[in-house]
Amino acid sequence: MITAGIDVGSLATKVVLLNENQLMSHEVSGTGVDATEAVKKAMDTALEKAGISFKDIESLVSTGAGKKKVPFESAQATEIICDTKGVSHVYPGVNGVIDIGAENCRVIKCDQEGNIIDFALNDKCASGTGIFLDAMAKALRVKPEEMGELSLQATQDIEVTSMCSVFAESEVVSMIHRMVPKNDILKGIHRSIASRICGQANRILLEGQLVVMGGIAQNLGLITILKELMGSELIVPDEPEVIGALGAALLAGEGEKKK
Amino acid sequence: MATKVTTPGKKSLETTAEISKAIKAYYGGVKVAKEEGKPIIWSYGLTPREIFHALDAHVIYLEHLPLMVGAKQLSGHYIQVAEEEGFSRDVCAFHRCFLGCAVASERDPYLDQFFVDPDIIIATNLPCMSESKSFLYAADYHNVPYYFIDAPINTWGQDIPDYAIEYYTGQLKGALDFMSEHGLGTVDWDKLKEAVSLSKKLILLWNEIDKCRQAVPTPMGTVDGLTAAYPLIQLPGTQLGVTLFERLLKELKGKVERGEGIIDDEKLRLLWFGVPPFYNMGLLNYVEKYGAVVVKSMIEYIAGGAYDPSIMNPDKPLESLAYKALVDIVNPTSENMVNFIRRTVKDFHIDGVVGVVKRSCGLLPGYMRPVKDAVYEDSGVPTTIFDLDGLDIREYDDATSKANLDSFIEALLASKRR
Repeated sequence: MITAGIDVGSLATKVVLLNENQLMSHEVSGTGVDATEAVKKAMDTALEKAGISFKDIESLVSTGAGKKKVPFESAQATEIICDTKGVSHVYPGVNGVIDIGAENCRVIKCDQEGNIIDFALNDKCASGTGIFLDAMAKALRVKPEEMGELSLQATQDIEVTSMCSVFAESEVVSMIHRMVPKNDILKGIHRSIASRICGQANRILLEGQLVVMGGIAQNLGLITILKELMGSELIVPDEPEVIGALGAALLAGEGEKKK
Repeated sequence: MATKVTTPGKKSLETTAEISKAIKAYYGGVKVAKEEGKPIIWSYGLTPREIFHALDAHVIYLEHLPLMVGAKQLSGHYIQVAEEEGFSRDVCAFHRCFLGCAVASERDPYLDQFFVDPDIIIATNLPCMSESKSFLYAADYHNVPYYFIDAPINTWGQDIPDYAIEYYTGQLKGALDFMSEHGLGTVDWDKLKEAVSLSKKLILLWNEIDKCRQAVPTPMGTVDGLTAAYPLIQLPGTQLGVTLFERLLKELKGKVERGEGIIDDEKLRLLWFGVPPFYNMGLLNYVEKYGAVVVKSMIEYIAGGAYDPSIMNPDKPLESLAYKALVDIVNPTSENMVNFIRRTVKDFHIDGVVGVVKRSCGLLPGYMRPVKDAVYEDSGVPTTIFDLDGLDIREYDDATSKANLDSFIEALLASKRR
């Protein structure tokens, strides 16, 4: 059975196509201002890569902040369910998930069978999410994708104390004016985010072997500090941003979420 | 055009509609009393209301006022007024709201229907000390006499020692004397004894109502439950309260006999811990699309409803009221609250607890972790906790609240399927 999972995030839209739970293709593209259009484009590309047409898809599940914008008939599931499903499929037996997306950070505790025991979402504040990092990247005039590598070259520990992204930006600007090296500031920013994520994880007593997913998981600087603070084994998948869509596609194959 | 994300709650019982009318009639009566020159008291819902009924006093309860204003989505406006008066955002949203109502130079037509300035303020520190400060400010602002009833913090659990009862009895006696000195006449002790007797009857009826609600499917959810709790807040010690509860009980018994739930296919039963969003009670109905029902809310017990009524002795009216007040679950001792929630989870066959944190509350957020751990350890029932200010609509984030509920319910349903 060919199934599809669509994860419409606020910055990126992800599509995964599976045949009997085996990966056929996946696509990640920007969501932009028109999520519906973004889903169509991502789906077209994924279909093209898989060499199939839309009518071949038998079941489809959508997830993510923009799941209601999906222009196809599909069942819907929350990110918590899809993340857990995707992670426990790729890494069976792990103890939990940390999903750091553009606007949300979710921590999920699960048992050996991949059943959810507890979870916590960040509140409406942007700190601890990709949007926060984007704002800091702009203030420091670096590309978001370069932040991780640059922070690893830091030579001292700088504390960024503000949790609010607006205040943190002011704090960072004042550091720039005080000629604090960019790499050190970046490390401080990552420490601030990692500390917040760590607090969120502690709320649900998350420990053991954990998978970090979501676009921000590609930031090695952040992951390094997160490992240090959490003292847990953190696994970062090769393509951490598509795990939610993978979980959605797997759910589509379970029969309850038919198209 | 702005999209409105909030909706009123959907009630399903005839008696709660009747209770809503009783609330309006009560406040209408307070307004008339003021016009007739009778003294009006401002007080708090945890001050033993029976003492006011024994004096035929007209009282505005200043935690109830914000709830009514909140239900009309006006709380944000009055909270803003209080902030403009200099109150920090860290002050309890309920207090900011009633202070905003108290000091507003102009009031909207809804509030104006029942708002009257005070002649006397009877304050207390139960459940929170900040309340006494807010009341003091209101007393200064309106230049009216102020009396403070000091309630000892309950560190004893269910067995309140005699010296604490004696102390609080003295506080109540002082309040009665103070009100008498300020134009409310002398206390009719027979009337007070009758009020205690009616109060005892009220709580016995409430316990029976609760038994009906424990039925699966439940005949009454929290949207109705919060309105139904009104007699507990303002009418203990009155025949009206007893009559309303008798009718409610009859209606619920009928529904239980017929197996009628508030939704057709009840799959999940939730307990709401913390203050629900009074400006958006539709959020409690939102979960019904999953077959989930918010069966019970802890807030219904805030004004007494979790104590042993057999201890109430009409021949010792003030001592009985002292016991009832001091043993209240919100008198700060974690033991009573945590035990109460544990029991409620079992009695009401709860599948999941929704804990909401009002950041400006100095009391309930502190219970979240102990409650979550105790309930899980006791019954294996999970709790989700997220930020939601039940009164300050400006703090409300519909998407985040629903994301939390969606995720929690999906996880509960998945767990049930296993």
